[in-house]
Amino acid sequence: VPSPDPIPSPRPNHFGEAFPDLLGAAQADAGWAYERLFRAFAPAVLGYLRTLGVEDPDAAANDVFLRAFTNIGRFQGDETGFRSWVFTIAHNAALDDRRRRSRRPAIAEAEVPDDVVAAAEETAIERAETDEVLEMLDGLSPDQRDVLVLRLVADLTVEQVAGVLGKRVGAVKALQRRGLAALRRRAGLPPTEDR
Amino acid sequence: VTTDGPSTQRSTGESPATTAELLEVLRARMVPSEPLVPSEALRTAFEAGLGATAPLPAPMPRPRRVARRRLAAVGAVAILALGGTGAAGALPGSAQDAFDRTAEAVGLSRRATPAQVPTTDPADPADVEAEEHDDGTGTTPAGQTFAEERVVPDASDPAAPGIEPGGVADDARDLGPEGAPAPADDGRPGPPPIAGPDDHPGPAQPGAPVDAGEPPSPADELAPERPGAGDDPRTSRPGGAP
Repeated sequence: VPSPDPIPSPRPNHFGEAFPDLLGAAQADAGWAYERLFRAFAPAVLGYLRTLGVEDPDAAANDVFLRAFTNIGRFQGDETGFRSWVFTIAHNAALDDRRRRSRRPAIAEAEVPDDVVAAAEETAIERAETDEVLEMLDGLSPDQRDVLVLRLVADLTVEQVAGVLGKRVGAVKALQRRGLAALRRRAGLPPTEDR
Repeated sequence: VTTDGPSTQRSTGESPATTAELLEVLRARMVPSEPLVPSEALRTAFEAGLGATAPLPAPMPRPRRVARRRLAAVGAVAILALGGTGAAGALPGSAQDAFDRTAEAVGLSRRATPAQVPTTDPADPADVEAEEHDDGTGTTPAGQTFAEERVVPDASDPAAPGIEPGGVADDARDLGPEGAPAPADDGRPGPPPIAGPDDHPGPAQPGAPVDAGEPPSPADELAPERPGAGDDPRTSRPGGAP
């Protein structure tokens, strides 16, 4: 008997039956349709890019939507498929960012003006929760992190995550199982469910 | 449950006791509550559609220089495989046909031979760099399109072909080291041409004596008249009556 999926099932779609009309309007280059799609999916895309440690997640998220809207004429599918498609673009953007940073040499620390430090502190406070999440995910491999974040933030199923990452469903399930075990250890939870 | 690691407390202050609760806490923290500010390009798209934003560059056909290089490689392989070219650089029949087909496929003239195909030095860093930076948009890194690209000889290299001492003329006024602007035409007739040793006489000028031909030589005048080609020996006898 297969074990039940430990991650809660995806939340219901945002647009429901209105999605086909919205998609059609966006494919006809209607600005209002772009804006509605952006408002619906941008928080999750931004959270995904932040959680993966992308250097400038706001700019990267904007680029993801610009790329998606530019190519939306070629998309065919329902809202779930659209969500999966947008996160595929976001995943590629995260990979690009990872490659770019790995090629760039480390910059020596320089003296930073006080006002810049104050602004950075504000930003740091605002994003403290994200930092905690990053710390939680720190012990995970990049693949485990990709799987868990796509499942939690993007609300994708195991099959959709496999499609985004270009992996087999079985491999995604194994990554998810090992990633969850690492998270439980990190949170001080017992290795198996106690309730 | 207590932990020394990062805080995973829920909004109620309790720590998650199960995986499901832990994941719920993580999910709530991963998705930011503050909205993402759209970029200027997206704001423009929201107002007027993507047609109002700058269009993406259309993909351009593959640069001809790559096609030429490939064609040169095909030609070289054909030459090696078939034992070299003839004296005029022509390939044996079957190889020439294969070469012509390739040339046609890459858009060069059908009867090109390897000797006619311009190639670039693969070791030339400029060529290598141009190919590495080809992003498919049909532009070089400097923004110059391949269609506009032209080869400019290096003026600093005196050995470069086609460059005279004094540099490459950049426009019609640059006449080189000894050049001077030509005088304007004042409408008066110019000096007569100087005849060279091989010059033939030109047409007669008004008022000039008509050429009477070559004068007869003295030997011609003293020689006795001989029968012409049209004389009939049967009706003309020596010493006979006229």
